[in-house]
Amino acid sequence: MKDKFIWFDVLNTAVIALFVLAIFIPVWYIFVISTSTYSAYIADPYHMLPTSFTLQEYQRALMRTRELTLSFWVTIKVTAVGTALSMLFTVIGGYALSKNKLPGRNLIFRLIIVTMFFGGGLAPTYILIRGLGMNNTIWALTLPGAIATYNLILMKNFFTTVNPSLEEAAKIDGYNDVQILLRVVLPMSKPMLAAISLFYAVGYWNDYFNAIIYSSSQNLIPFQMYLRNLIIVNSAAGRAGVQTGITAYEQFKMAVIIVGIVPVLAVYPFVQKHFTKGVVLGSVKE
Amino acid sequence: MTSRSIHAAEKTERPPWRRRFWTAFQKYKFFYLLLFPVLLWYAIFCYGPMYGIVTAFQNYSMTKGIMGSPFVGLEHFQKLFQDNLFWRAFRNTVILALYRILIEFPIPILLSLLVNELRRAWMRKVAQTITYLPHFLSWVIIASIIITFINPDTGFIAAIARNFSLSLPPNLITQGSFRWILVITNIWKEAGWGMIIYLASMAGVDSTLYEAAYADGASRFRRAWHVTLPALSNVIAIQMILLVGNVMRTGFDQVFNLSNKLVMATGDVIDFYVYRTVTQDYKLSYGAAMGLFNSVVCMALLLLANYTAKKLNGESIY
Repeated sequence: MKDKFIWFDVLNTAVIALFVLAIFIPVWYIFVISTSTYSAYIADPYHMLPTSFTLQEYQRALMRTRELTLSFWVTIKVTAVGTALSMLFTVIGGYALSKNKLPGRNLIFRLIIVTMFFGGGLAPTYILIRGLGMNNTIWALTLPGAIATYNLILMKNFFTTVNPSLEEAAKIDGYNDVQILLRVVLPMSKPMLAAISLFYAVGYWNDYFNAIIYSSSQNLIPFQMYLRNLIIVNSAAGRAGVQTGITAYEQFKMAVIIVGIVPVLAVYPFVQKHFTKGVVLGSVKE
Repeated sequence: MTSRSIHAAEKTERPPWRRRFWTAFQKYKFFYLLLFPVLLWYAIFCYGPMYGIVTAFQNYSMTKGIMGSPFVGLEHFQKLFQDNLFWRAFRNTVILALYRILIEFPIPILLSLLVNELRRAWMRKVAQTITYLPHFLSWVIIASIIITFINPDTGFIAAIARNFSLSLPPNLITQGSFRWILVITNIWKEAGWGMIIYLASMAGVDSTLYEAAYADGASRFRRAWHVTLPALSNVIAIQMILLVGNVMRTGFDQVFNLSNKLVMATGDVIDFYVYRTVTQDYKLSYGAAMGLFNSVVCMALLLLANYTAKKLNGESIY
């Protein structure tokens, strides 16, 4: 097929380019401010061209702001513990549910699907978590969201595509059930495992809601909550520990935003490789 | 085949159910063992709160617990129907939901059709890569970026306005603009991500269909309209059902991070009101009642959307 190059192509490219720019410019703007010296920051109100470059505020944020580094550690801990928990539950649940002939499977599956559309809501969940004494512990930030039913279904669907004759063959070779799962099924599922752990990890990295309702402890403030207090709430508490003078305060805040974006950018290439596949698989219904 | 013949054999001589259950259990015990922690999790963290809905019919107090709190029937629901703040939040949520469905929903479809028509593969790649990045950033980060960007004194928009000697209002986030801010920022964050599923479905369309249409003299627009769009209809239907089923829970993250006290008249949504009721006023039973009310509305919308899609399209989520 050969179509003529027409005015539509020009217009279409322009529309898409505008949309891409609209996404890119605000992030770029933040980045330029974060690396500006004070004189450059004052001189140019557009902050589009990086006329100066300094990492001073990054250094201050990451090395000399105790509250920030502490919140970073909380987030890293929550992400690590949470992702490990989530993957454990999702793998074992998805694997068991992928067995078509498992008696009771359909009932169990239905009970699980229901939770995607109906839940207790905030108040009963709040009562439950407090009742279990989980508030102000890392468990309140990880356990309540440990299984994303959507991801569980993705995992289940993927395991269903693993050829059952391979499992039979392994059984004949003398593998027991645990060995089959660990040595046959999981190694074949690496791309899917990577995709789903990234889904979970990004979720934990970005979460602030659980911390806001279940954590009142200074030692359990994750990065997103720190950032929120610093910029959105802009309270005195948010500024606590910030040693930047008034001249570098904007650059400091922008550096903190970029620090929050970089880890997501770092896993982004992997995300790109696996996520699309995951999304498409997820749309395949039961 | 074999399983069917076994079933036929069983019919003549069925072992008692207890033994059948036991043999099945023996055979699958490893998988039941795997399921156990998962089911326990669902029991505690999903069905536990569902049981907790009974607090909506009580005057729940933390010290007395669910067993000891007095039963008050529909008192909280009566209060709910007379609560102006609730109806304000309800109305705002309905309006925002309509914006989500009528304005935001078609945009990824339109964009994916446009991106699909881009001539060069590298352009399609760049467009996808950049536009779906914001999906992975939290609303805290996005709101921080937006607040800085549209700051009426120091932001980018203000700098441009000054350049053209336009005067900006002292705050760009106002009662009048707030809904549009919610719509635009949500498109900014999610449209690129929303595109992916449509683009993936387009990649799966049989290329002979395009060739046949081309041979028949169909232009690019006609091919997009008569081949691509019909191929997407099932995916569109499912996306629409999923959106409608959750649309009354929309907006919390955005409102929580972008609003201020002055925009509550247009900006307060149900989930944000529930949040304040529970965590600031500690009215747990009242919060549970509002949550239940909204869940019932969501369920009704989901069933309605599913039924409509089934009638129109033969597509449904179950």
